[in-house]
Amino acid sequence: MTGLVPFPEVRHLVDGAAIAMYAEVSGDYNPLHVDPDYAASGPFGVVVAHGPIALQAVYEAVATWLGCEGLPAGVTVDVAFRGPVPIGSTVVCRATEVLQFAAVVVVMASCTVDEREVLQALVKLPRRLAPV
Amino acid sequence: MAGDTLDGVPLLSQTRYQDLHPGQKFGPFVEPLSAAVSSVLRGELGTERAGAVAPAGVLPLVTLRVLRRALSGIPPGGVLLGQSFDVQAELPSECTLDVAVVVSDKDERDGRLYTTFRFTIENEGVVAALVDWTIRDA
Repeated sequence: MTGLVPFPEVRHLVDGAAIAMYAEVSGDYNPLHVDPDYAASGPFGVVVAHGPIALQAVYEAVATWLGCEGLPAGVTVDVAFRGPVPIGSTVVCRATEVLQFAAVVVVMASCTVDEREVLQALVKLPRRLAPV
Repeated sequence: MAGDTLDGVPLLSQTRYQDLHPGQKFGPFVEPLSAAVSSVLRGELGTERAGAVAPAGVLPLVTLRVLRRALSGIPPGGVLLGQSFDVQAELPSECTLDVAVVVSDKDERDGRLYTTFRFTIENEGVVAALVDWTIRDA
Protein backbone atom coordinates (compact mmCIF):
# COMPACT_ATOMS: atom_id res chain seq x y z
CA MET A 1 0.00 0.00 0.00
CA THR A 2 3.06 2.21 -0.40
CA GLY A 3 2.19 5.84 -0.95
CA LEU A 4 -1.54 5.42 -0.45
CA VAL A 5 -3.68 6.29 2.52
CA PRO A 6 -4.44 2.98 4.30
CA PHE A 7 -7.80 1.46 3.46
CA PRO A 8 -9.92 1.83 6.61
CA GLU A 9 -11.41 -1.00 8.65
CA VAL A 10 -15.17 -0.56 9.08
CA ARG A 11 -17.44 -2.35 11.56
CA HIS A 12 -21.21 -2.43 11.25
CA LEU A 13 -23.61 -3.93 13.77
CA VAL A 14 -26.44 -5.74 12.01
CA ASP A 15 -29.16 -5.83 14.62
CA GLY A 16 -32.90 -6.20 14.35
CA ALA A 17 -33.37 -2.47 13.89
CA ALA A 18 -30.96 -2.41 10.94
CA ILE A 19 -32.68 -5.35 9.26
CA ALA A 20 -36.11 -3.80 9.86
CA MET A 21 -34.90 -0.54 8.38
CA TYR A 22 -33.62 -2.28 5.25
CA ALA A 23 -36.91 -4.15 4.90
CA GLU A 24 -38.76 -0.88 5.10
CA VAL A 25 -36.77 0.94 2.42
CA SER A 26 -36.52 -2.06 0.09
CA GLY A 27 -40.02 -3.42 0.57
CA ASP A 28 -38.43 -6.86 1.06
CA TYR A 29 -40.24 -8.44 3.99
CA ASN A 30 -39.12 -11.99 3.23
CA PRO A 31 -39.80 -13.85 6.50
CA LEU A 32 -36.23 -15.15 6.50
CA HIS A 33 -35.27 -11.56 7.29
CA VAL A 34 -38.08 -10.36 9.52
CA ASP A 35 -39.90 -13.29 11.17
CA PRO A 36 -37.94 -15.05 13.95
CA ASP A 37 -40.40 -17.95 14.19
CA TYR A 38 -40.30 -18.62 10.44
CA ALA A 39 -36.53 -18.19 10.32
CA ALA A 40 -36.07 -20.64 13.19
CA SER A 41 -37.34 -23.43 10.95
CA GLY A 42 -35.43 -22.17 7.89
CA PRO A 43 -32.01 -23.12 6.53
CA PHE A 44 -30.08 -20.84 8.90
CA GLY A 45 -32.06 -21.35 12.10
CA VAL A 46 -32.17 -17.62 12.84
CA VAL A 47 -33.12 -14.39 11.13
CA VAL A 48 -30.47 -13.40 8.57
CA ALA A 49 -29.82 -10.01 7.04
CA HIS A 50 -30.66 -9.07 3.48
CA GLY A 51 -27.55 -9.72 1.35
CA PRO A 52 -26.77 -6.07 0.55
CA ILE A 53 -26.62 -5.12 4.24
CA ALA A 54 -23.09 -6.54 4.55
CA LEU A 55 -22.20 -4.54 1.47
CA GLN A 56 -22.91 -1.35 3.39
CA ALA A 57 -19.62 -1.83 5.27
CA VAL A 58 -17.70 -2.09 1.99
CA TYR A 59 -19.33 1.03 0.64
CA GLU A 60 -18.62 2.99 3.79
CA ALA A 61 -14.98 1.87 3.75
CA VAL A 62 -14.54 2.91 0.12
CA ALA A 63 -16.34 6.23 0.57
CA THR A 64 -14.30 7.03 3.69
CA TRP A 65 -11.08 6.07 1.93
CA LEU A 66 -11.87 8.22 -1.09
CA GLY A 67 -13.32 11.04 1.00
CA CYS A 68 -16.62 11.15 -0.86
CA GLU A 69 -20.30 10.51 -0.17
CA GLY A 70 -21.03 8.10 -3.01
CA LEU A 71 -18.79 6.29 -5.45
CA PRO A 72 -17.18 8.50 -8.10
CA ALA A 73 -17.51 7.75 -11.80
CA GLY A 74 -14.98 5.17 -12.90
CA VAL A 75 -15.19 3.00 -9.79
CA THR A 76 -16.30 -0.60 -10.12
CA VAL A 77 -17.15 -2.98 -7.30
CA ASP A 78 -17.48 -6.74 -7.84
CA VAL A 79 -19.01 -8.62 -4.94
CA ALA A 80 -19.21 -12.33 -4.15
CA PHE A 81 -21.57 -13.30 -1.35
CA ARG A 82 -20.04 -16.11 0.71
CA GLY A 83 -22.41 -16.67 3.57
CA PRO A 84 -25.33 -15.39 5.62
CA VAL A 85 -25.13 -12.61 8.20
CA PRO A 86 -27.14 -13.66 11.28
CA ILE A 87 -29.04 -11.04 13.22
CA GLY A 88 -26.92 -9.47 15.95
CA SER A 89 -23.67 -9.92 14.02
CA THR A 90 -20.94 -7.35 13.59
CA VAL A 91 -19.68 -7.20 10.01
CA VAL A 92 -16.02 -6.23 9.75
CA CYS A 93 -14.70 -4.99 6.40
CA ARG A 94 -10.95 -4.98 5.83
CA ALA A 95 -8.67 -4.75 2.81
CA THR A 96 -6.78 -7.97 2.25
CA GLU A 97 -4.62 -6.60 -0.55
CA VAL A 98 -4.11 -3.35 -2.41
CA LEU A 99 -2.52 -3.55 -5.85
CA GLN A 100 -1.24 -0.57 -7.76
CA PHE A 101 -0.93 -0.60 -11.53
CA ALA A 102 -0.08 2.14 -13.97
CA ALA A 103 -3.62 3.33 -14.48
CA VAL A 104 -5.69 1.62 -11.82
CA VAL A 105 -5.67 0.65 -8.15
CA VAL A 106 -7.34 -2.56 -7.07
CA VAL A 107 -8.49 -3.21 -3.52
CA MET A 108 -9.40 -6.72 -2.48
CA ALA A 109 -11.61 -6.52 0.58
CA SER A 110 -13.24 -9.08 2.81
CA CYS A 111 -16.18 -8.84 5.17
CA THR A 112 -16.24 -11.23 8.09
CA VAL A 113 -18.51 -12.14 10.97
CA ASP A 114 -16.58 -13.69 13.85
CA GLU A 115 -13.70 -14.27 11.41
CA ARG A 116 -16.02 -16.19 9.02
CA GLU A 117 -16.00 -14.61 5.58
CA VAL A 118 -19.45 -13.51 4.42
CA LEU A 119 -18.52 -11.36 1.45
CA GLN A 120 -15.58 -10.63 -0.86
CA ALA A 121 -15.27 -7.42 -2.82
CA LEU A 122 -12.95 -6.33 -5.59
CA VAL A 123 -12.84 -2.56 -5.93
CA LYS A 124 -11.19 -1.02 -9.00
CA LEU A 125 -10.63 2.68 -9.43
CA PRO A 126 -8.64 4.98 -11.67
CA ARG A 127 -5.29 5.63 -10.05
CA ARG A 128 -5.96 9.38 -10.02
CA LEU A 129 -8.78 8.78 -7.50
CA ALA A 130 -6.67 6.80 -5.04
CA PRO A 131 -5.91 8.86 -1.92
CA VAL A 132 -2.23 9.61 -1.28
CA MET B 1 -39.84 4.93 -1.20
CA ALA B 2 -39.77 4.17 2.50
CA GLY B 3 -42.47 1.94 3.88
CA ASP B 4 -44.06 0.98 0.59
CA THR B 5 -44.50 -2.58 -0.62
CA LEU B 6 -44.07 -1.89 -4.33
CA ASP B 7 -47.74 -1.29 -5.01
CA GLY B 8 -48.68 -4.81 -4.06
CA VAL B 9 -45.98 -6.63 -6.04
CA PRO B 10 -45.66 -10.00 -4.28
CA LEU B 11 -42.45 -11.01 -2.57
CA LEU B 12 -42.21 -14.27 -4.47
CA SER B 13 -42.73 -14.66 -8.19
CA GLN B 14 -44.53 -17.35 -10.13
CA THR B 15 -41.76 -17.04 -12.74
CA ARG B 16 -39.01 -19.66 -12.63
CA TYR B 17 -35.45 -18.98 -13.65
CA GLN B 18 -35.69 -21.62 -16.37
CA ASP B 19 -38.57 -19.62 -17.91
CA LEU B 20 -36.29 -16.65 -18.62
CA HIS B 21 -34.23 -16.32 -21.76
CA PRO B 22 -31.17 -14.23 -22.59
CA GLY B 23 -32.09 -10.93 -24.15
CA GLN B 24 -35.43 -10.75 -22.36
CA LYS B 25 -36.02 -7.13 -21.38
CA PHE B 26 -38.13 -5.50 -18.69
CA GLY B 27 -38.87 -1.85 -18.07
CA PRO B 28 -37.65 0.79 -17.81
CA PHE B 29 -39.24 1.29 -14.42
CA VAL B 30 -39.45 4.62 -12.67
CA GLU B 31 -37.87 4.51 -9.22
CA PRO B 32 -38.02 7.66 -7.13
CA LEU B 33 -35.11 8.04 -4.74
CA SER B 34 -35.75 10.19 -1.71
CA ALA B 35 -33.26 12.09 0.41
CA ALA B 36 -34.57 10.17 3.43
CA VAL B 37 -33.69 6.80 1.90
CA SER B 38 -30.28 8.09 0.84
CA SER B 39 -29.69 9.17 4.44
CA VAL B 40 -30.61 5.72 5.73
CA LEU B 41 -28.15 4.05 3.34
CA ARG B 42 -25.24 6.39 4.06
CA GLY B 43 -22.97 4.42 6.38
CA GLU B 44 -24.13 1.97 9.04
CA LEU B 45 -27.84 1.26 8.94
CA GLY B 46 -29.46 3.09 11.83
CA THR B 47 -27.14 6.06 11.69
CA GLU B 48 -28.87 8.38 9.26
CA ARG B 49 -26.67 11.06 7.70
CA ALA B 50 -27.81 13.74 5.31
CA GLY B 51 -25.86 14.51 2.16
CA ALA B 52 -26.16 15.85 -1.36
CA VAL B 53 -24.87 12.76 -3.17
CA ALA B 54 -26.60 9.38 -3.06
CA PRO B 55 -24.59 6.67 -1.30
CA ALA B 56 -23.61 3.56 -3.22
CA GLY B 57 -26.06 1.55 -1.12
CA VAL B 58 -28.89 2.84 -3.28
CA LEU B 59 -27.65 0.69 -6.18
CA PRO B 60 -28.42 -2.76 -4.71
CA LEU B 61 -31.61 -1.38 -3.19
CA VAL B 62 -33.00 0.07 -6.41
CA THR B 63 -32.09 -3.00 -8.43
CA LEU B 64 -33.76 -5.29 -5.91
CA ARG B 65 -36.93 -3.26 -6.19
CA VAL B 66 -36.75 -3.28 -9.99
CA LEU B 67 -36.16 -7.02 -10.20
CA ARG B 68 -39.26 -7.54 -8.11
CA ARG B 69 -41.25 -5.29 -10.41
CA ALA B 70 -39.86 -6.99 -13.52
CA LEU B 71 -40.64 -10.54 -12.43
CA SER B 72 -43.69 -9.78 -10.25
CA GLY B 73 -41.68 -10.89 -7.24
CA ILE B 74 -38.43 -12.77 -6.80
CA PRO B 75 -38.41 -16.37 -8.06
CA PRO B 76 -38.19 -18.61 -5.01
CA GLY B 77 -35.23 -20.78 -4.20
CA GLY B 78 -32.50 -18.73 -5.83
CA VAL B 79 -29.22 -17.84 -4.15
CA LEU B 80 -27.65 -14.46 -4.86
CA LEU B 81 -24.02 -15.26 -5.67
CA GLY B 82 -22.67 -11.93 -6.77
CA GLN B 83 -23.28 -8.37 -7.79
CA SER B 84 -21.17 -5.98 -9.86
CA PHE B 85 -21.45 -2.22 -9.85
CA ASP B 86 -19.99 -0.02 -12.56
CA VAL B 87 -20.44 3.60 -11.54
CA GLN B 88 -20.55 6.05 -14.44
CA ALA B 89 -21.93 9.16 -12.76
CA GLU B 90 -22.75 10.30 -9.26
CA LEU B 91 -26.41 10.41 -8.31
CA PRO B 92 -28.00 13.17 -6.29
CA SER B 93 -29.50 11.98 -3.02
CA GLU B 94 -32.97 12.83 -4.29
CA CYS B 95 -33.89 12.08 -7.89
CA THR B 96 -36.10 9.98 -10.13
CA LEU B 97 -34.38 7.04 -11.77
CA ASP B 98 -35.26 5.05 -14.86
CA VAL B 99 -34.09 1.48 -14.51
CA ALA B 100 -34.22 -1.18 -17.22
CA VAL B 101 -33.24 -4.80 -16.74
CA VAL B 102 -32.33 -7.51 -19.21
CA VAL B 103 -31.53 -11.19 -18.78
CA SER B 104 -27.94 -10.94 -19.93
CA ASP B 105 -26.78 -14.52 -19.50
CA LYS B 106 -27.93 -18.02 -18.59
CA ASP B 107 -25.49 -20.82 -17.96
CA GLU B 108 -25.99 -24.38 -16.76
CA ARG B 109 -23.08 -25.98 -14.94
CA ASP B 110 -23.01 -29.11 -12.84
CA GLY B 111 -26.77 -29.39 -13.16
CA ARG B 112 -27.35 -25.91 -11.77
CA LEU B 113 -28.73 -22.90 -13.56
CA TYR B 114 -26.98 -19.54 -13.29
CA THR B 115 -28.88 -16.45 -14.41
CA THR B 116 -27.36 -13.00 -14.78
CA PHE B 117 -29.39 -9.80 -14.93
CA ARG B 118 -27.99 -6.49 -16.21
CA PHE B 119 -29.59 -3.32 -14.86
CA THR B 120 -29.09 0.06 -16.51
CA ILE B 121 -29.76 2.94 -14.14
CA GLU B 122 -30.35 6.33 -15.72
CA ASN B 123 -30.85 9.75 -14.21
CA GLU B 124 -32.20 12.46 -16.50
CA GLY B 125 -31.28 10.42 -19.56
CA VAL B 126 -27.69 9.80 -18.49
CA VAL B 127 -26.47 6.35 -17.51
CA ALA B 128 -25.37 6.54 -13.88
CA ALA B 129 -24.55 2.89 -13.25
CA LEU B 130 -24.59 -0.59 -14.71
CA VAL B 131 -25.34 -3.33 -12.21
CA ASP B 132 -25.17 -7.10 -12.67
CA TRP B 133 -26.73 -9.73 -10.44
CA THR B 134 -25.88 -13.42 -10.71
CA ILE B 135 -28.31 -15.86 -9.13
CA ARG B 136 -27.96 -19.63 -8.83
CA ASP B 137 -31.18 -21.53 -8.93
CA ALA B 138 -31.31 -23.96 -6.05
